[in-house]
Amino acid sequence: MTDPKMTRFINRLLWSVVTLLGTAALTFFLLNAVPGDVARVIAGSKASPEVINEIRARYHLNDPWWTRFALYLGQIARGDLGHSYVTDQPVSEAILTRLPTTVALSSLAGVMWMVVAVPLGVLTARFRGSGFDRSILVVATVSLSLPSFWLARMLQYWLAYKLGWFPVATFKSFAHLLLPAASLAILFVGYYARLIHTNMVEVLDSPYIRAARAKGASETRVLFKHALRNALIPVVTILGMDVAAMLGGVLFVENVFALPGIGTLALQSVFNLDPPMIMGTVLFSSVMVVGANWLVDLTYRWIDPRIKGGH
Amino acid sequence: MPLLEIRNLQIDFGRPPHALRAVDGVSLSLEAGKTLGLVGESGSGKSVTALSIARLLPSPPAFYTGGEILLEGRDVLKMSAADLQSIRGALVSYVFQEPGASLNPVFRIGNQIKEALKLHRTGAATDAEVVRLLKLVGIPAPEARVKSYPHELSGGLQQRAMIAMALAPHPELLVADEPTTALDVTIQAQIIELLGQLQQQLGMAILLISHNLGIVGDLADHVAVMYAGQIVETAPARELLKRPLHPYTQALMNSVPSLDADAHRLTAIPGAVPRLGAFPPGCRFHPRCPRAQPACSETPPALLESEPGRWVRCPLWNAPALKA
Amino acid sequence: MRRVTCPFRILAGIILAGVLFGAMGVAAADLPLTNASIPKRGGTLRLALPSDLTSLDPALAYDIISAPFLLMLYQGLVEYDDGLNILPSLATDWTLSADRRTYTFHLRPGVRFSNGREVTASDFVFTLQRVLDPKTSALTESFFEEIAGAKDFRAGKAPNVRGLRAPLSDTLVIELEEPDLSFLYILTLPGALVVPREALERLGKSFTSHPVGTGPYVLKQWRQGVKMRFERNPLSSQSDRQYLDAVEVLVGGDNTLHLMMFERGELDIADITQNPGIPVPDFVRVEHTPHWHGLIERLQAAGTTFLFLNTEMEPFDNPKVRQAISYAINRDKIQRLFHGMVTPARGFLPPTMPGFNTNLTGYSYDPSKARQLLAASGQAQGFPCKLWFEAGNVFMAPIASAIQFDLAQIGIIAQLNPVSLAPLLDSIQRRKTVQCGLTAWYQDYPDPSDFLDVNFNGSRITEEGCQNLAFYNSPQVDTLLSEANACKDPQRRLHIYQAAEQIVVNDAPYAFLFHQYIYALRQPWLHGVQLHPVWYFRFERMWLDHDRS
Repeated sequence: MTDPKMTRFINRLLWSVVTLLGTAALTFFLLNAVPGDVARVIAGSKASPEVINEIRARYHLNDPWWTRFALYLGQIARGDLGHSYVTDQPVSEAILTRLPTTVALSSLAGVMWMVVAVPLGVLTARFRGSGFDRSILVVATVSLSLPSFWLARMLQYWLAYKLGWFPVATFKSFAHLLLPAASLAILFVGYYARLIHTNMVEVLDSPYIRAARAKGASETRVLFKHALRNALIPVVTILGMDVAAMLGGVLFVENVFALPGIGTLALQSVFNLDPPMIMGTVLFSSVMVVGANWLVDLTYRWIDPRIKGGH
Repeated sequence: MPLLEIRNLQIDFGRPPHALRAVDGVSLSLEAGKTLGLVGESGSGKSVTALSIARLLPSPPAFYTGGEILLEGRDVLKMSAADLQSIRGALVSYVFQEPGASLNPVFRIGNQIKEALKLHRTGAATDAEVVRLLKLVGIPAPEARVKSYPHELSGGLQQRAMIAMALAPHPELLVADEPTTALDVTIQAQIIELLGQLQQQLGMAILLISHNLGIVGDLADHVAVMYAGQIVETAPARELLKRPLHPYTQALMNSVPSLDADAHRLTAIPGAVPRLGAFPPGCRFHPRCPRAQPACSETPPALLESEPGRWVRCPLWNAPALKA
Repeated sequence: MRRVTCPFRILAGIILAGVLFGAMGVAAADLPLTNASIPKRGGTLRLALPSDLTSLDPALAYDIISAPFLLMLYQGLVEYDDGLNILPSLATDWTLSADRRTYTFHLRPGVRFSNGREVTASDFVFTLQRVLDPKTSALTESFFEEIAGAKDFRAGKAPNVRGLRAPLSDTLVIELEEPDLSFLYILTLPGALVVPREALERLGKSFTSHPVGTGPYVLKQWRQGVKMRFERNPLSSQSDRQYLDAVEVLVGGDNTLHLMMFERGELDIADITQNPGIPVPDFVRVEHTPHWHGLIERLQAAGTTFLFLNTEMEPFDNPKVRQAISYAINRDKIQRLFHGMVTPARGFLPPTMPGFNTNLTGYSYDPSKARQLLAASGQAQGFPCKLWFEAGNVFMAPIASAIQFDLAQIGIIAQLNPVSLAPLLDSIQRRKTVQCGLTAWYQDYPDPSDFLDVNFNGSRITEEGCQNLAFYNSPQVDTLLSEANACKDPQRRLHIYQAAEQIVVNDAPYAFLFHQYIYALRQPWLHGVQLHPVWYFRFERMWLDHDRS
């Protein structure tokens, strides 16, 4: 009787809320478990005990944790993520001003690695077992095993500092994003090349590929039109998740290149022991992931004709 | 000159010393506009033979180790990749066993048929042409169906669409590899009927591969029976069905249910088709043959012309047939 | 004062400008000849800091990093010249009353705040009263407590500070409780930089990020954790402080990253945190690189790093043990460890300090003598102890290890205990808590009392927040310190301090380790970077010349 689409939607919505609540709760508890007097941080090292007590009262720091958590939930329900204890800046404002940098970095990285991974995946599938395939496999395995901070620093040191081909740090122009995006891209390109390779190999075994050849399609056409379109379907969903995770802040890369993104905001908030900012960045990150889940689901239905509103 | 002539085709899987011979000295010929049925159980090598006509076998693992495949006099096995690409679709087209799997799931069928048209011409292809083709193969509401995805069609419609796609570039030869095996019985008859109609209308030759003697009999002019990589009998279709000579053909006939014939008990052929590389010595069928003699396990029999136009690979073809 | 944080202490002493001229000579000795080209207008100075400034409110920010930025935005009555001499700033001249307790300042006319309003004497009254107001929690308020009526005002017994008066709009009168000829130095402190009342009332807490002053620059943009941008103040007429169009500060990244950016030309000064201005691991390389060698400015920092030994806790209550430690430490090794960025210290006063005693008898490196002293004190077999120091401080960790090694040679097993700055200070300033630790003391301004009185006066011992880290209590030294305090003859005063210093050195409550240099590494196109002995950097006096890089 109930519309299955609607039930699914509500189900989805409920689970998303549960996920976000869970993330908020977990972060909240962890923050409270960390030693360090928040009141003292806000007040500054020179403050008198009266000032510290006043701050405790103002921020309800003496209340039991469930009260504080409930207060916090009420606050975010109203769309207010609070203010930084350190700078008094609204958390949502801080996040929104940093978002464009992270978005630019993530999208550029995504484009970079897809542009490389797609041909590599297709060609290694086409020439499966060849020396080319084997060497790309080695390269791919190495690339996805590299630690992000090390790679970022190495690229910065050799290509920017030593050779001067790129700016060393900060975000002043598009050129400043190239090396950071490349660091990220290198980390993902191996994984995606292998993923596309595996999907392509599977797809190339399909009857419709043989049928396409039987029609007289060139091998290039078979690979890039018939096979790739199918092989990319699962890849797109994973790409969506990865981009969403990056939007939550690419901590290491942003930090190494001193980019004003969400990652550096999150790191700074931890070092500053600034609970509202920490909560804000973590929540934002989870919203991105949950949102990406939704988006990926919708996109999947759109790009794979076989899945349409659940047959 | 026949449209298609296969001479002593040998196809191995794998390289020596581990090569397994899947097709062992197969020869066939097919005239333009005629239909040849190629019959055998799975594992007989009939699909491998059929696929090799346009060199569609992936190589490795398949290797053409002998013989020729002449299409309009040109040896397919010696063609360049470019030539091969140009004859595929234009000269020889295929219809495959599982139509749902042989259509690309992410493209609309109109799109796929258009591609079949465009690949062999320099100009564009119109939607009207596609609609015409869909009508030709008997798909109802063709204007709407142009936009359908393969999964939105029933098995029968999918096969019709595939036939439309195969015939779009006007091939001389249509190779139908088990075109009805995956379909419902009632649909099977429709498809076979459609193929017959289309042949009348368009005049292409058909190579029809099946394990089902019944449907082959309806459409084919000639029939060739394959077992364990070899042709064991060839004859005009009516002759073969009326009077099969090879024990294997006879056994096949007895295992086919028939609505109009006298009811007889279905007999399954005892044993199983031998695996590649594990062929019995002498005649490959002899372990399962009701007429087997000691000599059958020693000397591999050659193809004998029992009468003009009929060939049998059995020295005992003349011996009285054992009734089931 | 300690690095970054500032203790409360009261200055009592008399310093005459003449002494400081002499001291200036010492400080200037290390300064290279400046470039004698003509300053050019234009360009943006690009700097970087690892983290945000805490505040741009001059009453609330008092650390070495914030000071140069405050000087861009604000002005006070007086200022320093290139050395330690006092020059007029917003006050054109002043007179001192006969009893030497009252100063009368005449103010420069036509000076405006960046919000447009003209400065009057009552603004200075407001500024100084605000610093003294307990509600402000100003870091430097204790310096100003000598103003008459300050204590009553702070205790809430008076609505105003009686010693601050503005009889005319261009005349300011400041009365002190007692004469203090060093008072002008106090007026150079950030707390005395003038701020407008209405801006503070309107902005409240956010004044800290929306400063309004009379300085040559204004804050145009502050993106927290990202960057700060300062631009010329159109209402300021100090053309010799406004060569630069703008100053941009990148926030984020560590000093290694900043050095990389600098070497690639993306920053104009490598490191403005003065810690010590060139990352220690890169120091040798940079110094030996011909291109950078001539662009390094060096200044002897007015500070001393030392190991304090708690004289109230065993076994450091025994002077022989303390002396043994002073003999056991290899100061030359430390100097080599830091590639010459430090010089060994014999006493507490740094070389730039007036009263620095070149004849002071210090300790040589003599482990055998150390062992003898230990044996004589009944500790021949040695003993264990816990050595506290600041975690994450790039200097302290290697020094602690070096000292640990040196002490082990005479049988003292030191366990290293790195602690974050805040809890470290809390503990070492608490009585009977910490046996020994490693820290440094830097001048608030040039007077020996800042070093000797604060650290070694027995009457300064408190249960917590005590700056006398050794809890040292010597009647002899106390007497000398009081005498110096009351002494009116500047030369004699210094001699008294020197005598006190020698006794302290002999008693060894602190093992003095070294004095440090501060460095500035600049691009060839940046000029006017001479390090100032108190503020180090003064950005508003710099200028860029990109044509002649």
